[in-house]
Amino acid sequence: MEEITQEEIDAIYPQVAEIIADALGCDEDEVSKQASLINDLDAESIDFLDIVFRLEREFKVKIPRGKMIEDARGDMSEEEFEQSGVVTDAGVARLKSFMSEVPVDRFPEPLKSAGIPKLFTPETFCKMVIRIQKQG
Amino acid sequence: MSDHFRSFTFVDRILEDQPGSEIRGEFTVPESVEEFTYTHVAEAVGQIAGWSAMAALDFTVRPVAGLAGHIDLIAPVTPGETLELSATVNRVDEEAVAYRGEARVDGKPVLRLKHCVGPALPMVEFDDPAAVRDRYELMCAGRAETGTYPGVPAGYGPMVVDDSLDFATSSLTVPEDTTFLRDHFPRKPVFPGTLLMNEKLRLATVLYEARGGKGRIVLVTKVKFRAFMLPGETLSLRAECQQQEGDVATYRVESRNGDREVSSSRVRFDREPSLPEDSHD
Repeated sequence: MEEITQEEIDAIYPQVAEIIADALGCDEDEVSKQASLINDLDAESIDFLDIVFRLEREFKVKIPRGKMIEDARGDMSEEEFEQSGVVTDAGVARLKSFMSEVPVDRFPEPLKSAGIPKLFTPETFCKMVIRIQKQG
Repeated sequence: MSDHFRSFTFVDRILEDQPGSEIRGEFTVPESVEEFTYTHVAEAVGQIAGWSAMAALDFTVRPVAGLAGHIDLIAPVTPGETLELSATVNRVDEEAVAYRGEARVDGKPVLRLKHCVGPALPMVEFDDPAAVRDRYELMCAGRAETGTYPGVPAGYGPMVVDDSLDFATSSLTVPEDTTFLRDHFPRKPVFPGTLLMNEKLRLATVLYEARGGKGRIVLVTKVKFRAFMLPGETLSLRAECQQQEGDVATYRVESRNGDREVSSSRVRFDREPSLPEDSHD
């Protein structure tokens, strides 16, 4: 998959940060690129829905459910990526590479599939939008 | 007689449905009820969108109130009138339903919803899937029982305006058992988000009028419901003026269960709606 540059991320970050701040009811200066939406900004599942739908409207893209995980897996099978709700070592390695914006020390061991959203940062959403825009 | 599909169901007939896409229907407000507020109308629009989404997913999921980005409160509805309901479902899957819709009376819009999202939860937790399907088919065939809505209690806790006139507070205790809870929902009674919204709008109006406002609520935005409100729970409500010049004002209203925010929204007051009658996204 084509690399995403910091320039591309910085170009849309202000809009993404504004959407996240508005959805979470916090000040924009509380939203940093590497903040964990769940652990640092107290986002809940309804907020993730809110953010995704607002991003779709703002950037005129469709963000399918599970898109991020699907892209992270790439050519890896579901069985190779996850077993009984836990991400495999190979899957974690793939995620760390794909979600390079997330500090590696935030990846718990073991990493449960349900825990992947806790890794999401504003930059994660920026990259998601850019990937979808590039895929056309 | 069971309250199922009687005491908090605001769709009588489905005139046309492309499941998961476009739906039209009707609801006649019984003349016997005291009032049918804007939030009831919003509930009716949400319900008809929900029917289309449930049909699209074979009644395996139950959409619940989540987000409403923009609600235009255009004209009041009088008991006895028939709502012409329509909704466009933009997206439906096992996670959520996204839709917009409107209600009209005699062809004239009375309320419009945009940018709405309802989380989709397993139907079996809320209702009997077969019963829900049967109701859908009855409504499509024009054979569903109508005129059953008995109304809901109006007003819960006392509304207190702070001496500063900056905010007002109230409380709401969800009844342990009542007719509308048995229809919302039979297997998991939860206080309807739209009834909570009604109390919040009433609170905002009390504060607005205490501050000298002579207009009415014309727009509600950024509605978000974070948690279910269960029987017996007590919520604290708060309306806060963000800015007011004469009759034009913006308020923030929220409800909390202890420290936890349960819902929030923005409310705009004005003399008359400022949007064109047929504005669409």
